[in-house]
Amino acid sequence: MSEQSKDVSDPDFAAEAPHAEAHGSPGVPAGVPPPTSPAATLAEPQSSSVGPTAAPQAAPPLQAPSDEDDPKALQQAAEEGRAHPSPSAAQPGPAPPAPAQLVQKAHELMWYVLVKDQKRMIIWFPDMVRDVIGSYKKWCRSILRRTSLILARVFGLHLRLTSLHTMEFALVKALAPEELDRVALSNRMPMTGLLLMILSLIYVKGRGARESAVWNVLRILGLRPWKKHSTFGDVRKLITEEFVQQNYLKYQRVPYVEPPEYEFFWGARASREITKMQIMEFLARVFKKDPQAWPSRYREALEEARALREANPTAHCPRSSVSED
Amino acid sequence: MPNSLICCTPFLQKFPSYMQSSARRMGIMTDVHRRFLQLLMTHGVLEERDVKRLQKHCYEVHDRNATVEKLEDFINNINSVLESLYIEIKKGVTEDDGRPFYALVNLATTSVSKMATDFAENELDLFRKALELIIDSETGFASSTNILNLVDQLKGKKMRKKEAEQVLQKFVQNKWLIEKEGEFTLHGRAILEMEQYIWETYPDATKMCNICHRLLIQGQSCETCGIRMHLPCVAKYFQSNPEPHCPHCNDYWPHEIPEVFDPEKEREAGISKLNKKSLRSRQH
Repeated sequence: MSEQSKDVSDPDFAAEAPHAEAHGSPGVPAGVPPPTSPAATLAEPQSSSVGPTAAPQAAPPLQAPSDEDDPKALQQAAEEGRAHPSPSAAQPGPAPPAPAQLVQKAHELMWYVLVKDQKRMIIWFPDMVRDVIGSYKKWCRSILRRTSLILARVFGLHLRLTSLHTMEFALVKALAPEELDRVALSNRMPMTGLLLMILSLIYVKGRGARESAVWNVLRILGLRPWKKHSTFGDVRKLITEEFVQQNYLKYQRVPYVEPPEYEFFWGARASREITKMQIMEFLARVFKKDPQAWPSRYREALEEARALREANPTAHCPRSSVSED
Repeated sequence: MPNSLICCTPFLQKFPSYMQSSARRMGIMTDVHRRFLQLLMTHGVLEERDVKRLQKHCYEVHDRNATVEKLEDFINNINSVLESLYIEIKKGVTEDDGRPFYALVNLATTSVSKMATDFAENELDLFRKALELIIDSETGFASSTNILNLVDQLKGKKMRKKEAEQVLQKFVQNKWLIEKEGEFTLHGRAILEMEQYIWETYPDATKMCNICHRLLIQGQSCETCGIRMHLPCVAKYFQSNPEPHCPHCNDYWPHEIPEVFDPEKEREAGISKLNKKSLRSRQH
């Protein structure tokens, strides 16, 4: 599936973008503000032209639903780029590919994104171009758009541009209610239990949890930093490296402390995927207490739940979602 | 009517005709199916009993009152939508004990490069070398030593033996290989995904099961005429046959006949194991 034709210019993709080269880099200029909504991205009046390809029928109408937010933002950024023609624009571009080839590329990109997400690897736009899109770089907008559409309609996943600055994408669940699906299958539970333990500790403290505090808690589970565990393996590596790499935790040095100490915080991914109410339910089960035994935290969790419900009025009521087998 | 963030009907009017047929097929995709696909993709490969649990979970989340469709039909329905995307939920059976499992596979590329998203060039080449040894072997297993001895022949960056050991472990963790007592064979998922590629690339060395005519890595063979059979195929073919004979040359079949995989027996065994576990944990 990887594109063998690695375009030499690709590693400098981001640097090239402002120059809007004639071979049609889709120009993701650094100046564009993060796409919070399609309307907010650019003030320029948008042409309703659907795409540069010879296959205009391949593109769904722009009034598509919100699952098109971020690919559209890229598209708008690309329109912006194309509004500044470069001096070498007179060069003839490559022949436009058949629609079927673009469709095939979209399918390849879909699989690529799914596998990256499955391996919990970063989905990086330059990688997408290098590994999948390759010589179809000029049409990557329409390819991306189609891929996003398929992912939304078949998998219920949003391909979201999480950071325009680093050009990272993420696959976000579009289905409500958002739940810890991992707990549906107990064979994934050990990891989640460990992670939830640490996240709960951080949450209850209300600030970062020092590494020493985390190990005190893990000792209850029989885990020690120097001991290899039959299920978890190298626990220290798991929590300080793997969970951090997957953006579930942040592991940072405590400033101004000698000898050096480190503390844990919630990672961006944990904040996205795990609700405070789930943490309260977890605590209630582990300590066999009512969630209201942590009154201020419980109140916070209720408020977050209310805010989520208001943001998502069509959602079902979230069930008690954290279940340990 | 299940709530769906993606409502298909308004699209049908706006799409040009060639897209409408696939859009219509996508009309059967409900949030139940979407969640199922998401979770199946997350896990990569799942045993049948976990798949059934997964299906039930998806119904419970999105469509509590509906009757849970028979798994085979449920999956066929999803596959009809996936067909145009060149992916499929495939069912396989483990070669050693006949356990059914499911995996979401990409049909478009059948070569080893489909693993290319995860592995470097030299790692992929290590896999290819291991694959060749496994296919050429009599037992379907390649020893760790023999694989590691090929480390110098790998394409790409030079790899030390120590590193290669870890890469082999990566393959095991990612369910491309299985390890048993220092020897490696193909995981059922790898066979499912690469069957086509293996037939095409190693047409002479590849073995076939006499019963199901599918690719065979591990199995039993007749000592007289040399035909081979998968262990689960042997189990089914010779089930309750007190005097098994080779289906090809009729000679006495000399090997132990395995048991046919029974999911019910599995469940009971699992429950008693669970009971023992929970008793032990209370002693802490």
